[in-house]
Amino acid sequence: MSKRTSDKARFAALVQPHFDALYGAARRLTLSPSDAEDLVQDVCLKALESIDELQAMEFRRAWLLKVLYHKFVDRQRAKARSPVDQAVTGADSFGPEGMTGNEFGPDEQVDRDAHAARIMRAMSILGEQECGLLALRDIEEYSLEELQEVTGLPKGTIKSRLHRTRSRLGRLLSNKELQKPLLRIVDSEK
Amino acid sequence: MNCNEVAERIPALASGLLPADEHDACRSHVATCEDCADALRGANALQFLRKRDTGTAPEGLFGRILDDVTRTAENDFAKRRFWMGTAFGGAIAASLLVAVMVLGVLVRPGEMAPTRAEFYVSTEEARTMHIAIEADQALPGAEISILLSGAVEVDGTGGRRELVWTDDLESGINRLSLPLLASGVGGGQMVVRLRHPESEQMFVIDLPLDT
Repeated sequence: MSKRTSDKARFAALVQPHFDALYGAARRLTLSPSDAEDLVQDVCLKALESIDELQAMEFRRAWLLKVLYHKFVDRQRAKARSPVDQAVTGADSFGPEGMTGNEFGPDEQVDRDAHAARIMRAMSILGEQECGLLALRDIEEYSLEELQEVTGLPKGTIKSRLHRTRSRLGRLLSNKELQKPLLRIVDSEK
Repeated sequence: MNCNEVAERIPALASGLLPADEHDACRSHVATCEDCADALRGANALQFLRKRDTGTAPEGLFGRILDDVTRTAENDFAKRRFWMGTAFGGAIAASLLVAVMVLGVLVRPGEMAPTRAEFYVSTEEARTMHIAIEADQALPGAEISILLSGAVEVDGTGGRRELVWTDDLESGINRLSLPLLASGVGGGQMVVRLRHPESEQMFVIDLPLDT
């Protein structure tokens, strides 16, 4: 059997059981089926490149989803050259009270897509690692123990990182963070 | 309840799954704590995404993707080499001389392989990397980009992967300090990109984790 055929068969055996979960996650993060397919394809390419690593893993689905969220962040950034500016526009509709049914207008799907797009842009500002960790917990509902296995981080670190990232996401969605300078050039000859 | 206790319950609070007494206690805390209110706002947003209708994967999609990725993987290496050669060939040909030194190690323009600068990132503390950008003439309005990959971030930027700003570079050495922090295992890489109407240059710096 050629290496290509062998890798293809291995890939199918390892990834297909998780494919629906991957596609579902991609659809939640994109506004069209074709964008979701592109995102899943990016993940599959990465999985094929890492086929040996993937085979040795216990938590393959979590790894694949983590890659998906990283790729999602990459794609969002490529799509929006200035994601911060776009993320801050619009009123804050994710208040601590939660979303109410009244905030959508007559064309509800369009409004919902606009809300989703705004969250996605804010998520892309969080950073790949942070976005992936938070999404695995709050969207994919992985337990802290599972996240510990996937990341290798202590549970306390995961908890604090999750809270910090949730708060950051909340601040981004309510426009609080965006006036800060990104970076300051300093003299290094001290 | 304090912040730690509320933080653990935020996802359940956003999902509406907390028992009534805990729900009320969390709500009371959130009403007076800005940080936890922000966290709940973030959790609500993720709940919104979680509940989106996702449908099912189209028939035959897996097979199609399987064929595509195996074909792409075969060509990937050659493609990448072609892209690098093109981009950096152009950079080398540019008339403007710009060089970046990292801790005294010169990173030559066009050098794509990660440098072996002796700089290690740590998860415990931010460590400052000093970069000298050398220009043989003043470059007003130069765009400087820092692109990060892997488990590395610039401290104080909230994990942003791309930092871009415009600055006037002086003729000679322009110094820049970046406080770098490892955000997980594995280290990472940093690309420093300089853009000016007369030139564009990129430099790749390896950032291994201090173990």
